[in-house]
Amino acid sequence: MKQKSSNENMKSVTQAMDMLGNIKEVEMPIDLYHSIIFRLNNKPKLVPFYWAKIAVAAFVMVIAGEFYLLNSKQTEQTRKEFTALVPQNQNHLYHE
Amino acid sequence: MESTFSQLYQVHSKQVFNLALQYTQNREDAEEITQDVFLKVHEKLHTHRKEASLKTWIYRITINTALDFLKARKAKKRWLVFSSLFGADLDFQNEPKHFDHPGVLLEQKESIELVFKCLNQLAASQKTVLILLKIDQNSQKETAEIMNISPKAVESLYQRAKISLNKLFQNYEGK
Repeated sequence: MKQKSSNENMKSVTQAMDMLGNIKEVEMPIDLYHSIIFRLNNKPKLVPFYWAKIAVAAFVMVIAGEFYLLNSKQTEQTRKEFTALVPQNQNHLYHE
Repeated sequence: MESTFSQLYQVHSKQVFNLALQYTQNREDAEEITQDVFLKVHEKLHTHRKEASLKTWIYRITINTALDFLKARKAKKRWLVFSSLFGADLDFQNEPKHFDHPGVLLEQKESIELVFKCLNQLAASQKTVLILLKIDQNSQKETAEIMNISPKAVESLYQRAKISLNKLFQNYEGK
């Protein structure tokens, strides 16, 4: 197909714009309001997003706290084990 | 509350339905979007701030709902194509709907369908500008207010949309 010049193309864009302006307004379907009211009355009760966010934040805080406690206990235990392993500086001889 | 909602519906439903129709070019989809818009309006009416007019607010909800609807449809289509690669049957009920725009004159149907085909390939903001300015016949100022941008930005988007459309037309004519 022969390529159109850019002027001709811009003309077809302008024509397209005019065509879009000719689109008629459409009347509403009559039963749509009843469908909306039906959906409103049968809407599932959902927990508000705000409360869901608070619950998630609380959960994350509890988990983080658990981790912290667990970690601090482990550190203490490791320290004790380490101290037990380190030879003590004392001058008493064995089986003295 | 219910009477306010009913009044709101009486005043704005036609605009909402027609705007949704320009985005989807399908009556059934436009009905679904209109329902979703009014459910959102009912839910969020108490959050509406007085500085934006109610019309502008409902327009914004409609545009966002329509764009989300189209995005979801595109994702669904992509998933269908992907699953068909692994032998799954295509669910044709989820395929994009055909062109069914009741506002288009029969003698212009073919050409307008092509214009919409190109329009649907534009970036969301360019498409919105064309719909609001050219089909919905809003002024540049009203369009700017609805889109929450400056009138200059509207003009620039409109010019870019025209250039993009021009390229898309060239592609279609070259085929």
